[in-house]
Amino acid sequence: MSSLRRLIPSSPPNLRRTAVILSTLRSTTSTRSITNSTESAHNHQHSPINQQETVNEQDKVINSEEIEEDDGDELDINEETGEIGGPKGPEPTRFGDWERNGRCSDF
Amino acid sequence: MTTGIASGSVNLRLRERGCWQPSLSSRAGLQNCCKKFPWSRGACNNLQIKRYVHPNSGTRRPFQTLITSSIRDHSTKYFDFAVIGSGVAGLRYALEVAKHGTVAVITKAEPHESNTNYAQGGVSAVLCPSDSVESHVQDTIVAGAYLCDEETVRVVCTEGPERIRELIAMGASFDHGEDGNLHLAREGGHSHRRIVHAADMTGREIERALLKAVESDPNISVFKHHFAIDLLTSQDGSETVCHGVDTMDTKTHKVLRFISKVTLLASGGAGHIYPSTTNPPVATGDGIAMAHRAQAIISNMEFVQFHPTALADEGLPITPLKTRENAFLITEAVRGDGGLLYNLDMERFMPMYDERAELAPRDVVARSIDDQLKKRDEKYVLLDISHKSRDKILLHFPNIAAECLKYGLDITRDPIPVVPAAHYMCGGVRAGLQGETNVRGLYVAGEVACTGLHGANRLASNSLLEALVFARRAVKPSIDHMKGSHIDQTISRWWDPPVIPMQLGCTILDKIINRTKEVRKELKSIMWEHVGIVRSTTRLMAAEQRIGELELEWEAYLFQQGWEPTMVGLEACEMRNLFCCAKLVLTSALTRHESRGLHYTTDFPHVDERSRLPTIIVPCSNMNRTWSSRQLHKQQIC
Repeated sequence: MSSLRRLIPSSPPNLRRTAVILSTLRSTTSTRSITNSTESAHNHQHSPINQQETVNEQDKVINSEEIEEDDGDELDINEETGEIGGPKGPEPTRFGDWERNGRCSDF
Repeated sequence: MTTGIASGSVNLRLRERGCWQPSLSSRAGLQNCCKKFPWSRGACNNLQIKRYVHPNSGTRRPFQTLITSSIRDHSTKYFDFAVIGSGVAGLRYALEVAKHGTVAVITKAEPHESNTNYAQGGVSAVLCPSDSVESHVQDTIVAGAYLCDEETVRVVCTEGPERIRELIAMGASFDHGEDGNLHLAREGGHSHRRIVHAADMTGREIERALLKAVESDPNISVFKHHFAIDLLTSQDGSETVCHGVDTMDTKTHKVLRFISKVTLLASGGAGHIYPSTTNPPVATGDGIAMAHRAQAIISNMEFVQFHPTALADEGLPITPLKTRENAFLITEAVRGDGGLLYNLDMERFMPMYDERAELAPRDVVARSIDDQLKKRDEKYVLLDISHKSRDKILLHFPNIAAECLKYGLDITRDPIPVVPAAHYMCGGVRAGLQGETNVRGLYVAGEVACTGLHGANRLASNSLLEALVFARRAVKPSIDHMKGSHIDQTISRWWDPPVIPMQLGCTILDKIINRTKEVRKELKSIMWEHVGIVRSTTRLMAAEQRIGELELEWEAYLFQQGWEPTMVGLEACEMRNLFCCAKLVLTSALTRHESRGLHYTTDFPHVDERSRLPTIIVPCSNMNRTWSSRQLHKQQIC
């Protein structure tokens, strides 16, 4: 099974500014909408579970206390990939299918 | 079986041809274009549809010019467009055509109850500058085992990105990156990152956005809890024309007839012909069955996509009280993380089938599991991850852990019972590039359609894409057709209405419902045993026999209890649709004398270039038709 890798955006981390994102994102009434820029600085500092995207995974120290719930109103950025609002945890497509918490929904 | 089966390429030319004779196309990638159709066993020798004479067709009057929707009586409604199904295909189409006329969206349960809603992965489209349509095309064709229609693939991959942008403009919210661009993931089979998604609920998010728009559109009326019974059709020369659909309100038990100038079938798949499926309960193949009864061509039904490892309830220590509605698929990740597969004798069987063992491609794993189950006559195999650290298991797979724990299974200590589950139907009602069918006025989009995109196997995340593209493509021809149509105000009298069987009384109706439930279970069991992942001619023929007998027995029971041919009930109507779809899958499987993509048969275990053609089912004879295979309003005609 081939290993899948998510490309890590080359933009530096400090581009993580809400203003840039707000200008390109369409504001919607959905729960996913971004509210205001001041919140982003105090965003939950969750460390996403950093998993190797290869079949031969290594043991990682995982601090489960750092995994926080997405309450829907705060900016939720995956530090590793720069994805906003995406699925938490390991890359859902790392083994070829779409997986969340062990349950597969597409393949 | 009274169907004509062919393997061939059918270029649907509607209206341009006087006679409904499929022509062979010379599309790139398909060989043997000029050969005649090879016939399978059981096929009738006449490709042309026997002209069906409707008792009233001789008095067909010219349509009047009145093009308005008006409510005549409470049992018939008139709309410009009727949409059957409220998934992504149906709703997307409804929103466009509503700009030109009145629309009825007919859905058999709650509007959000559809396969779309359960599509949690993503939708694929070329949205990255370094990606290309050509690449997406190639990936699709490779996944489809070279049975795809190349032109269709190209069209879908080209138009995909625009369809996504429109969805976003409609309010669907997809995940973005920090750079403000859509975040794209990469699923198996794709050579580029191109899956857009909304966290893990893409389908639900798309459905939400579309439903919201539909609900606020004044031209669209949604009829929920309306089960579609049969399409209303007539003959115009050798062509079948669709005029609408009969439905039943399952809450009030009233029949409601829809007369429409254009009908879009977007009713989804038929996972429930199998005992284990990811599909919600509504997926009983109603649209495919109705279309087949209405003389539409059906194609490629043998290609049913299974996932190898769904949680097998029978193997859980505590049996769930209620049968699970849709299967809990256990991801590749478990195997990728080191999970091992065992049969019930605790033998690790994968190394016998493939040197990659548990890491073999999914279809190999699915076949291996199926083979083990059939050889050993067992109901499930075991997926064991308990040798991994408890912490890691609970961290990566909390959902599985929690679900199993509910039923007394601790996956950190014991293996997980798994069985393959049916997930998606690549085949369906044959559609041209505009979503048109060989029935005039009838269009199809989404899983119910066979557009040629998926070929012998669907590429991940291509199904939502197909639905979006074809729903959109069907719009213009639908509008043109609508503008050129007139509704004769007496048209509703052409067909006898369905009858709610009130006079049978509760006791008899309960008996019928109970018997139907048993028959349904039996049908699913036969399909799984004989028309599953690994097939053989012997098993398929056994299935043909058993299903034929089962259908006759069931119908005999119904009529014995006083059921009349024009009576309708949810359970009975779903059952007849399930029979219809099961037979279509079975018949198609018997025809394909090779193994390709999702269709694998031990009698022809290899790919055969000469067979690289779609399977086409053409209804041809009215003789020996069962209740399930005839439209309700044609039951009196023999």
